[in-house]
Amino acid sequence: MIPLVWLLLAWIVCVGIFLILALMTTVLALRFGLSGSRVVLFCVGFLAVSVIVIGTVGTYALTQVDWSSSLSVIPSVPTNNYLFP
Amino acid sequence: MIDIKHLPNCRDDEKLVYFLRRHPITLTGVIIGYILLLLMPIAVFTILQVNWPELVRDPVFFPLLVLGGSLFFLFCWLFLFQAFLDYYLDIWIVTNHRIINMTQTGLFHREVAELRLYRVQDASASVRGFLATVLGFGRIEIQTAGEHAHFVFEDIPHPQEVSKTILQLAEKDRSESIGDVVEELELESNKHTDSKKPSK
Repeated sequence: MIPLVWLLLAWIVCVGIFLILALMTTVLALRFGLSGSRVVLFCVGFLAVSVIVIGTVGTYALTQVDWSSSLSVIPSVPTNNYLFP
Repeated sequence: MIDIKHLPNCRDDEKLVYFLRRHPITLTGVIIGYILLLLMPIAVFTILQVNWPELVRDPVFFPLLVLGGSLFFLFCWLFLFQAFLDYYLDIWIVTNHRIINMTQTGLFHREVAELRLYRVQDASASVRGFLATVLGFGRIEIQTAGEHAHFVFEDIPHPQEVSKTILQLAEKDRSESIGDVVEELELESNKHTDSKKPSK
């Protein structure tokens, strides 16, 4: 049995890695994108979509899910014996 | 377009002639591929809802589906943006005195090379393939006398026109920068004689 909250923590770690990579990519774009305002617009668009997705999923995860339950990895063995009833 | 004054070592009389990027059509395949990938979580969710509605209503499975799907979407979105930057940050600038080649490969590899126009020996343009012929984009290879044996402009629009202009500008720059050329030749010949002198 895997506690569901562990999977939430794994998701938070992955989102953290995403945010670091997104920040590095945005800095790179702003530093080397020579044509000024257009590159800022692209970066704002990229970050806005990312924030909306993380915000929506994060809000759903924190408010709608019961994280105290567990995930069963091994399927339960059926109690009825269908071969030899 | 850019302000030429932002470039390093800009001369007062320097003027921008071309600001080139690869033709946008070269990015289309990548963008379509990533858009299909971005739609995958929605497609998977729809398929599950139609065929296995009990899984979508499951209080344990559904949150996992949402978390996994969101991570898949976010990383596809990031890689799409990086692919776009790979295109957007590959720039070739032609001024009336020099050519600047800026190439970005991935996040941590950026190359900036500069070439004085009087060093240009030859510029050859080539258009290969159906799409390139129809849309008019191709490659320019510039042979030089410098350390960079040749410069390559990849998939740029109107390559014939650009290569012709580069050769004209090179000719003009050679006649204007005759002093620089002579100085450079002297330096090179001095280097040559120094290296040939026997060491005592």
